[in-house]
Amino acid sequence: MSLNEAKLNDLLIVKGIKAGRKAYRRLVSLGINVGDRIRVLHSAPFGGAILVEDLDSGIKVALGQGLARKIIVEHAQHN
Amino acid sequence: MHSTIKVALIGQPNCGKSTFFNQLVGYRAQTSNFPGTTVEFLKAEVTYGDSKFEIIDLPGIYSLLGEEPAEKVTLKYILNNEIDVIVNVVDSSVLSRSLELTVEIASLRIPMILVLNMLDEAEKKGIKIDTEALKQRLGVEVIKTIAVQGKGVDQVVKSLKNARIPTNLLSVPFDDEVEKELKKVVEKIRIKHPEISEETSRILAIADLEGQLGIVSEGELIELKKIFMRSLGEKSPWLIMHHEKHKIAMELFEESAQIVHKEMGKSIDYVLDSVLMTPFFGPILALIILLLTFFIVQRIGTYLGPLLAAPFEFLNQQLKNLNSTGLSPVLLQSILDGLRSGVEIVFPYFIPFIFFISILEDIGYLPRLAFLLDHFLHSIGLHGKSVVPLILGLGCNVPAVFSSRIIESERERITTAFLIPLVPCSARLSIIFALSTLFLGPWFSFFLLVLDIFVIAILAKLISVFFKSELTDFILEIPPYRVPTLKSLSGKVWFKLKDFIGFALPVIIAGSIVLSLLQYFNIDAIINNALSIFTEGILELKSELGVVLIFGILRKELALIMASEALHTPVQMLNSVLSTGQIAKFVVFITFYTPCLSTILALWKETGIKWTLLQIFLSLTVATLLALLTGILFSL
Repeated sequence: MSLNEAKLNDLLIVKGIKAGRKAYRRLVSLGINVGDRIRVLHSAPFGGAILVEDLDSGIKVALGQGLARKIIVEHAQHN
Repeated sequence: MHSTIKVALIGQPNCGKSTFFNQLVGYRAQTSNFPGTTVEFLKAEVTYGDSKFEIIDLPGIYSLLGEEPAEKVTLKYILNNEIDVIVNVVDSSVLSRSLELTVEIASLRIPMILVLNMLDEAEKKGIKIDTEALKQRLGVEVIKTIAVQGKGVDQVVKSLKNARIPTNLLSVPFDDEVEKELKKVVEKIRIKHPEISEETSRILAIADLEGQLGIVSEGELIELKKIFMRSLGEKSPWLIMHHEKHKIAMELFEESAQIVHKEMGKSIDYVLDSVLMTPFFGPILALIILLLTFFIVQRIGTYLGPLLAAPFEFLNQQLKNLNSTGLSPVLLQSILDGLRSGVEIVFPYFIPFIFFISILEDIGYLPRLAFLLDHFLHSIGLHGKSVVPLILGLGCNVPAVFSSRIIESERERITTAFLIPLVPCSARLSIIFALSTLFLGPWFSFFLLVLDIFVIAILAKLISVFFKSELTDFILEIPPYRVPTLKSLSGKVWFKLKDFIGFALPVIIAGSIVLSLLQYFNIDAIINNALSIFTEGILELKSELGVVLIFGILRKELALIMASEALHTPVQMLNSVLSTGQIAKFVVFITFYTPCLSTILALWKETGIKWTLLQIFLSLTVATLLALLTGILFSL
């Protein structure tokens, strides 16, 4: 599924980033890499931006819906 | 080695580099602003012991190889200046990502020191760092610091002279064809800059392939890209380098850091965010925070104003007692009036305002506001990041216009810069607050600010028609909350105060003198007559205000004191010569009309002459229409 469909606080794994060159670069530079464990902490009102925490690089990033749609995630295995 | 040792601070955005810089140079050094073409960097000369150092604070960057304006500034600096030591400042609380830049810097093979800053925040997150492991792998001095508290800074100073050339961990050989082409670019760099090492040149060459440094021509670049496509496919050298440095950084992190405990959902950040960032409470609290700021500033201002008036009342009386005639008492009076307007009317609102805006800035609230408002701003053709320049505009429009550079895409950057002059700066806020408190009631200023938000939204939507390009995606790192330190807050207030006393106040006094001279020689009448069609005919104000509106373009602070001088009435008694409706119209017009000269120049530099002229035209139109509307409302 894409990140914009994810439920708040679910533990996810980034499977792919289908963004354009520029957006891709900005995402990986900020620390969102394929394979990272992430979760959505908050979403802004009226279908606005989402706040994502990357547990591997320890950062928080706000992402617009357009970009969230381009990040492919999968539920992490519960252990 | 040359006499002065050049030390460049390089680090990722928000790693506490500027705080570190201030700690390094302390108050011994004069810091100066060097506005680059796109981003600024600071420079200071300091002496420690018997060595002289030049410390350069380069803008925060995520990578040496990126394509952002800040990265370009850093690369150009490395290319054109012989740096003796790089101090790589790292935010220890996001160590793994920060090390990606470190790995890149190390591959430059310029003597360096690694500074693990924000150690307290790393500890809070449960990250324990073993500096020995990092020292071993990178072959350089690694020092732990907490720059905000000044901890570890001395040790960095002591180590500056012992900086060592780091071990290059990032050696990515491309295939032969690519290497051959890269070598040609490297040779080009080394012919022009023989002092730059082979390793540094290689990184610069790869960066140049992103079109960063202009070493190879546009035509050659297209050719090179074709060659790379052929041998690397979709993968650019940048991407290959990124994957490699990410891998190395993760390895380094795993070897040197340990996560002792990680209690999720319990830290203060999570608690605060779970209130401030939620869809319902978030926007409501944002509104309350902003209104509260305005309310408190207005209260402080109305309290401080009269207190500061007393000495001027006394001096005024002394001047009247002199009973002399001629030009000199007129000049003395005008100097006194100018000084008084600055101290009594602008100062009481200006300073508290800067203080509160700085608190919001330092705490880390502005990026969160950007998160909350991105959707709304997007719908009117702006960007979540537009929040920061727009809010800073409340302090002063000029730096706000420059700060619109944080928005990467052309479209939203220009729109934001274009709209900033409509944000009432503290000079105009002082006039709004002062006149509202005196004659119109505090609610008037509240309604005016709400109206202002609507005007900005409508104009944003209107000018979005001019743009064909798509809106860009919103990505913004949200920093942790930080307790603002008194040092940083007082520093920011002090810089503004210095600027106010050194620049604004003299202009206000000069303006006051010029106006009194114009009056003394009856020249003001000519200007007033020429403008009377507008001031009296359209706005139905007094013709004496014509000259005032002209001066207001120089500095908005001038408008109120000039009005009082032109009408020969103290500010507190303006209602004896103007009706309440006229005062309201005056306030509304001043709020929206032509930006001040400094803002016009800033806007010109940032957006070009076309947008600047359009802004002047639009703001005059909006101001006139709204003033007329206010007049109608007050006559009901």
